[in-house]
Amino acid sequence: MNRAFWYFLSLQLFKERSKHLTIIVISILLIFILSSVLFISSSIRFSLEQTLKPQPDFVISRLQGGVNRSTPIEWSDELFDIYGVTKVTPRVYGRYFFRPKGKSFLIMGIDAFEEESHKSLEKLIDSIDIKAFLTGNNMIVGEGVKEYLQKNFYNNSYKFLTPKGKFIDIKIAKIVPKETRLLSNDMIIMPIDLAREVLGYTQDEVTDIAFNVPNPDEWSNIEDKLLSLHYDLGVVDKNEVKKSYETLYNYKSGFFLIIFLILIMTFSLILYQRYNMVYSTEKREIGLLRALGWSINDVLRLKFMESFILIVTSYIIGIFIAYIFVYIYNAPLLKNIFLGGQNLQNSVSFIPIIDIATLSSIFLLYAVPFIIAVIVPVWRVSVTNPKEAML
Amino acid sequence: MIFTITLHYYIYPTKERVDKLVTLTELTHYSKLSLSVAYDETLYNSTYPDMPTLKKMDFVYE
Repeated sequence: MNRAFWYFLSLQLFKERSKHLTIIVISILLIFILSSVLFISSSIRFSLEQTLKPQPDFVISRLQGGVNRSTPIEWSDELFDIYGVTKVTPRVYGRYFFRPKGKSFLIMGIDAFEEESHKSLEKLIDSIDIKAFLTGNNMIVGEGVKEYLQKNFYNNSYKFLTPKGKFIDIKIAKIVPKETRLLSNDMIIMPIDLAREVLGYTQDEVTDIAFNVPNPDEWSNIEDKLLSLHYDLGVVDKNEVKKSYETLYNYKSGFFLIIFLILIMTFSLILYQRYNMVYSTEKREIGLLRALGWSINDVLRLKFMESFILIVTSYIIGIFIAYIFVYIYNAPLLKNIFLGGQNLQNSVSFIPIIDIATLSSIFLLYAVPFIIAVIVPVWRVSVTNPKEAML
Repeated sequence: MIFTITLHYYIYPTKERVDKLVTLTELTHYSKLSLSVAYDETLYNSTYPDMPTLKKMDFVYE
């Protein structure tokens, strides 16, 4: 490819600028939507994967008819007796309904006697008096809960109605940092005994029991031991959680793949149709090039380079706009598809993740059909006799 | 454009944000997305389809 080729290519691009501009605008829009969706999904997935390490290796709960029921706390004593099991933590959590407006909060109980809870609480919330928090009727609420309660004039405390019909007035002690909104937007953290009372658990019941097994080779063995302890015991291990994170909003999985394919197919069809129509009127031009001594390869190369420049330009601009939209403006409107918008409004700041595999998939998914849609009609014209083409 | 993306990518406090998420998980031993979806555990009464569904809290309020 010599200088004359590039000069001719630039002239060609300039001459047909209005046609190319339309294609570039449509392509930018397509890449922008595609990459925004992938940016949001990879950012959420990354955030969740980071929280995988401190999560318990196993969670057991009592099942009845395939549904989780309250788990007896004495099961945790049985776990201590199994060799290789560490960090047994009974968990109390559940949803509380703010009935008048049909909204719900996630109540999480934390253990006052656990040293790790103290450390984490100190690290997470600045200037918190842990002793006062754990001994009184206090709660730490997520940003979404705080906003919602304030809107309903509960500025300092909220009266929870327990399943026994008793009201408990709980003071809002602190707010969970907004950086954790992805997990904590609808969360209310309170001492475990208070959570038990609000959710209607007795002193001998918990939601489930979490524990660790440091030796991964022992996992299947421990799982068998657990299942032999009680017939109504259900076990979930960390690998299942990991798997669910991996498939969460995965672009390879069903829904998104179908959307991508429909978008790409529609775009390719539009392009194919457009170039087919254009080339029926521009046959003369290709015929002229062929008559001047250009080979079929030269013509194809010219059109390939022309399309490639369009692809790269629209790809870079599309990705750039998507990055700004998702990571700087936090994807207004589009984030509701991922996070929902019916319960408490969540405004998350997405952690920027640039996944090379994702970016190259977008490029391939977009570039290959584009080039095929352009090259095929050009090839069909260029293989005809120049004389016929110019008629 | 590429420079702006790279600059933002490197100056964003990713580590701090991840640390906060990890600390919250350590505190609660729990990590699930705080999705804003309407929560209804009994969308359909499978036993008696003609009857309206009764939710757990109905017994408390009525």
